[in-house]
Amino acid sequence: MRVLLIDFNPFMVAATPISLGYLGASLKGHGHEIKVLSIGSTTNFSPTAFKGFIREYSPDIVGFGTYQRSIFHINAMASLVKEATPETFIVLGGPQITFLPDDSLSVLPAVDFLCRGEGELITLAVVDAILSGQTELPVPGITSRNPEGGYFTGSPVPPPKNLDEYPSPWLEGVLDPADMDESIMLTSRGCPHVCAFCYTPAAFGRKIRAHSVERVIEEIAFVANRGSGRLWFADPNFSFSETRVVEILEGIARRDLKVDMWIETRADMLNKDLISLMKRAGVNVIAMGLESASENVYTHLKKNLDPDRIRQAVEMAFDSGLDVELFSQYALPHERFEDAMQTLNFVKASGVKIRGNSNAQQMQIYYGSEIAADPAKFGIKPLRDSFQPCMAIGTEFETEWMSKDEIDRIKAAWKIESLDGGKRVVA
Amino acid sequence: MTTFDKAANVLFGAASPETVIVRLYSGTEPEERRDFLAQLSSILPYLNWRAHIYVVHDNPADQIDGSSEVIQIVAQYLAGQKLSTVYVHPCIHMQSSEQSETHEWERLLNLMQPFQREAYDQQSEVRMLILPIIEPESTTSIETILTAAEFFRSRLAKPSFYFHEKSPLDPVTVLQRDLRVYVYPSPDMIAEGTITQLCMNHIFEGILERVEEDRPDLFGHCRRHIIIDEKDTAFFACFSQWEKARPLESFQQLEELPEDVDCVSCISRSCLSMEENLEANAKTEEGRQVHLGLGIALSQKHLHKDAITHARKAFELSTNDADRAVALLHKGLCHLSLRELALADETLREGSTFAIDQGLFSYHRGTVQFARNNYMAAIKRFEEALATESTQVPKDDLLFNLALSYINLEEFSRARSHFALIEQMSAPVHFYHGICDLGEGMVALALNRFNEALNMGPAPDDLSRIHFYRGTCLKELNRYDEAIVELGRAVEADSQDYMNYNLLGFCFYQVKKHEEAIEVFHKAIEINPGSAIDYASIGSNLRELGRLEDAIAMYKMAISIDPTLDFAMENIARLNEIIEKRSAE
Ligand code: B12
Repeated sequence: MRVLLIDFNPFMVAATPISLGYLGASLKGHGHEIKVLSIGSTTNFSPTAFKGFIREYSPDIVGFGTYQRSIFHINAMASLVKEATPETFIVLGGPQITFLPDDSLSVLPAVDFLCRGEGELITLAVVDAILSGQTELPVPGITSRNPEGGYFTGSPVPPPKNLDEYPSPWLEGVLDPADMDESIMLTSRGCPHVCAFCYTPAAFGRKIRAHSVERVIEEIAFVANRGSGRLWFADPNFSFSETRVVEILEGIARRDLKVDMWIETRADMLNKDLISLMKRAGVNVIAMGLESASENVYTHLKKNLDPDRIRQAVEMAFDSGLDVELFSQYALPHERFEDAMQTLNFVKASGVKIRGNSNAQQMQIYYGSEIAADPAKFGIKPLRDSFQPCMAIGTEFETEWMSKDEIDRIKAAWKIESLDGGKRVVA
Repeated sequence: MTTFDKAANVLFGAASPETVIVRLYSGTEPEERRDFLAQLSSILPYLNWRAHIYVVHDNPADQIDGSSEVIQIVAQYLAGQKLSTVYVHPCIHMQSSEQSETHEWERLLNLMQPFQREAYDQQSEVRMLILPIIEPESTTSIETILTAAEFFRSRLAKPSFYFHEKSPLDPVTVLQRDLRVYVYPSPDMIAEGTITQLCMNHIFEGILERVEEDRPDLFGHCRRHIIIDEKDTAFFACFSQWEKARPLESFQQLEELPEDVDCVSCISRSCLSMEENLEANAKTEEGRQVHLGLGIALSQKHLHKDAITHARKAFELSTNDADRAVALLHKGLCHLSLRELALADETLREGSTFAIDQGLFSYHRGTVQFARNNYMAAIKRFEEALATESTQVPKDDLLFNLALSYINLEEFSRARSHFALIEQMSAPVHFYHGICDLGEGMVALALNRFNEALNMGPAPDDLSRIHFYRGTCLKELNRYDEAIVELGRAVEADSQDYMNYNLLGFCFYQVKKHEEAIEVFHKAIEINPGSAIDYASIGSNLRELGRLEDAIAMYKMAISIDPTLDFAMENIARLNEIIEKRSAE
């Protein structure tokens, strides 16, 4: 089968499509022909050129990585695919799709399948269904239209406990580091915490699954030697296990790999020795989630992390010559205007430069998080009476504690303090 | 099988224009206008998925009507689309009091209604936004301008303003209200001025994007903005083609640009003309980045003179010392490349006054002194740079240059001590290390170093030199046969190097291969006809072959070039004696 996988982020320059890379590696391992495209805000193409390409490549399946903010664009692109080659099947997966309500399909006419969860095995099931002509029956891990009306969802596909069972997008030649200014690495999935705003625990479970140290080092070595050496680790908590991360970092140092790494982790998973080892191995930036510096707020987030701990971690990192980014949010549950200002002041006092990822953003409510499941319980007041079924509330809300106007004022306060006018880089 | 296409600028083959500037005229016959709009409509499906259309019209009285016609065409097209956002920018004149005009404006903005909220509700990624460019009369008060801005903004039509003189708006206000200002100081030929202005700004923005993304193709053709003139429905592939009044024969030709489009100069010129615009929009920092980026890219293209102009601009637009230092460092290096050594030194000296980290400046000032053959001064600067322990300085390069300076002063042991500190060995390091050894008479050691240099895979240009010095070592060791092989390789790598032949000839002589020696010395003379010693050497080889008359002729030739060649004189005398003796016998 010929499968085309597309990431389309209309608001950001194209990045490494690491998740699609995993799907690609899985499909490639089963002998399918694949192509992975990463399209960003500055990618130049006309609808005519896109359709021309589709007609020429003529894929059996086109899969899209889908986020809340891109779902309409993806829907539009899916329609273009169907205009070009009506017999192509369209499957959506990604963060927005895992928990997307079934009846979203009613407003996504060009879409055939919604992938619930990790797509490595589920896409294989889709391919099987197409090859065996059973697309009108439930497909494992997939929600699709029931020809007799309504929808059906196939049985869930449990992801393998051993993450190494997924072939590597890098080592299998699906993604080529030489093509990228910066390579995204993903060495673990899942998070043991249950922050109310986050979708990760629901999507990947509270038990962290990680690639073996050998596999990680092999990937890093390959990517570092072939690419620019700039590595961006997408792991929710890169240092969740100290022994593991030490082994990885020492492996990098031992092999003398020239890397410039960005990692994200929790402040309580850092200590002095680890930080200096990180520095030695080539980590240049540590990003941490602060979310809120106000006790009124963070105690309700279930993040279980005291800002003092974060302050210490920031200092330790600075002392070792590392740069730090702090993720923070406003309009959180229980947050009043003063609380939000407290977070801004905390970040200013910490010495972290307010730019890029350290620009705060309004909490975004996405499917899969505890807040999305019951917004009212968290004092969320949506600004619209109804939303399209494929759209969670996103940022279109005020809270019991902060009006829209106050939210806008906080936003402006951050923007004034920002060194880059509030441009965000990643997530 | 390609599995990953880098999200380059252009996917799916053809480049899709992002900006279209449409120029309309008053008095166009209705059918002509209809035909023109049909042509315009036919190209819309080929535009980028996010595109801008500017409508420029000379006659203020017809601007709104003309723009409306274009907008309707765009709206009709979009109605059948799935994934397209078009921003239409009508250029509209504004009288000093806007009262009478708001009704007209409202009429224009209403055209985008179907593409606003409803588009969202219908899950449509088809959008049209009207973002007017307002051209106030010079007498219009700031208050009136800001009221007009508010009028548009409140209707989700973020406006820009176009001034012919200095912008009356404070850049901070512009920034805070998220406005955009164009300043073009020429009031003549209004449409031409506007088009020039729009193109310049687009070119600048395109370059800013490339600089920010750190892209290597800074001077690649924009291929992103086309200009369409209603007169004869002329399509221009880009600003520079429009300026030269060279239209395409048809839109389809867009893909094949004429070969002689001079993007470098167009881009450079456009960005240099942005000064008033940058100031008026509080975008001087962006300007600095662009000029610095262009400066660096131009010097990579060896266009150092132009690079200096941009580096100077980057310096002028800098607001802090670190940026000033970077700009001057770059400018200084351009002067160095042009061998304007005094200017280079002066620029780097000035730059160093802004730098916190002196390391790089001392290092490069050292290279300037080196280029002036002032090795003592170079050593002083290099030592300074070393003492800063700056991480910015490429340490191995620094040590290498330091050692080279010592070599030039024939202080070989000092040179050697610096070579010893270099971490990343390379062919040149081994080579010059070998030169030191040779200079100190350690021939066997030197030979080893030259072997190492060869093993590292040296640059093709260095190959001949390395073989030559290996030959020299072998000669010193009296291993002439091996030396001959080595020098043969030197000749193979560079057949125009005189030294190779000269030494090869010498070695042939030593092993009594006089015919070969003569041939090689002739080659040497071909390259260096004024070389007396090579004539004399031919003489000596002829002598060994017993061709005494011929030898004498060659010695004479040598003396005619260099009368101080005593051994040639002596040989002539000696050979004449022999000849005389023989004839006496
Ligand atoms: C790394 C990361 C990124 C990377 C993307 C790398 C990548 N995955 O391709 C970068 C930096 C580019 C990025 C950008 C953005 N991100 Co992000 N990002 C993350 C992060 C930290 C980890 C994601 C990850 O790698 N997960 C692990 C992989 C394995 O999971 P996955 O991506 O979901 O993919 C699996 C399945 O979903 C499925 N799948 C995915 N795609 C497809 C496609 C098909 C066809 C199929 C069948 C299956 C399938 O299979 C995959 C493999 O198992 C998460 C937060 C978190 N802690 O999880 C946020 C997160 C995913 N990002 C988020 C957001 C909002 C963004 C941005 C919009 C931010 C911005 N300001 O622009 C952009 C959008 C990018 C885009 N393509 O449109 C949100 C998404 C919420 C939502 N529902 O939309 C998250 C959840 C963070 C949050 N705020 O809560 N992000």
